[in-house]
Amino acid sequence: MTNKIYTLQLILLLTLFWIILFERFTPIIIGTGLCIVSLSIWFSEKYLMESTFYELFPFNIFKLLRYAIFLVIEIYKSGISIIPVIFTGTAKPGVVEIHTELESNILLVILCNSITLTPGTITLDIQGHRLLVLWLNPKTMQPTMAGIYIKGKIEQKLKEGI
Amino acid sequence: MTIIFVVIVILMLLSALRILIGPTLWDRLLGLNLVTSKLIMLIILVASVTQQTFILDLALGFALLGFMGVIFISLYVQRKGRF
Amino acid sequence: MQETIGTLIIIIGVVFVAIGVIGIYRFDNFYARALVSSKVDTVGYLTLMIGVMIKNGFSFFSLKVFVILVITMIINPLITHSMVRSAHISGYKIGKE
Repeated sequence: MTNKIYTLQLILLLTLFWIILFERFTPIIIGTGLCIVSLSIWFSEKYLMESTFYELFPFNIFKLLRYAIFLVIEIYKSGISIIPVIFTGTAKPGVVEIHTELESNILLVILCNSITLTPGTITLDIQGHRLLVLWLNPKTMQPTMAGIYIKGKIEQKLKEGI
Repeated sequence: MTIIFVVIVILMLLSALRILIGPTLWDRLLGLNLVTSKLIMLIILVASVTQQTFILDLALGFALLGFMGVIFISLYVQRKGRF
Repeated sequence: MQETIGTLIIIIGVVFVAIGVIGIYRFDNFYARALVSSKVDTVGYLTLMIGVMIKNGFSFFSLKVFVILVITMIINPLITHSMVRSAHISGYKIGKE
């Protein structure tokens, strides 16, 4: 994935968003969309940001789509497993601390948002490689075991690339 | 479809009750978030029944507006009034 | 046929949302309420949007609903995180009530 292919992918994605907002598929709309998208990417890379989009948010649309499908299945699994807790009404939330090995900022943000989006856990704070997680009915307080329970499969998927 | 509308409006009123009786400030914020999400669902169902796509723009705007509101109120509380 | 399947999925989503609303009256501290209700609400929201998309078939309407769904899926965890973090930093203890 080089810089040029990445920029082309970004332009196509944003143009698709432009067409969806206009709800028409005519040459004039596509032309103005391409012009405005290219202009805005150039402007924000030159004047608003310190480096390029490719260095800050590298992603591949197919890998991102695969990750989204995986995440939806995880959300449904834990969402159904949380329903008995509501009807019994017994919950003792606790704060546990886990460690992560991911390096770049975008991967850390996606990991925290995925943990929050999965029912039953909410990320509270992040300092370096330590995450504070609020957990409904904690099974263990030990960082390593809690890490396997909370983020095991998500972190593996993220390590394969996004 | 009418029954679905009535059920969602009842659920929205029940969520709004949490804003009134919530013992802490954050309970009221939670109620506000739930009311916003019910309102977006209602707008999208109305658009689906009448087949008018411009109503969806209202839903988009309302989602972003609710986001800004909750984020700034909770930041204001977190910094104890010094913004 | 397509309409019937869509309506069924919408009804399942409304049931999820109703369970989420029951959740905010069952517990006696804020953390449990935030954990349970807003998350089950997310699942209900996802199901309802998929129902609307199936009901309308492949058109610009469905694509626009999909855009709203993606944007909401990005900002929903941010709202929950910001709310609970505010309570945690302000010193809300578990079991205070």
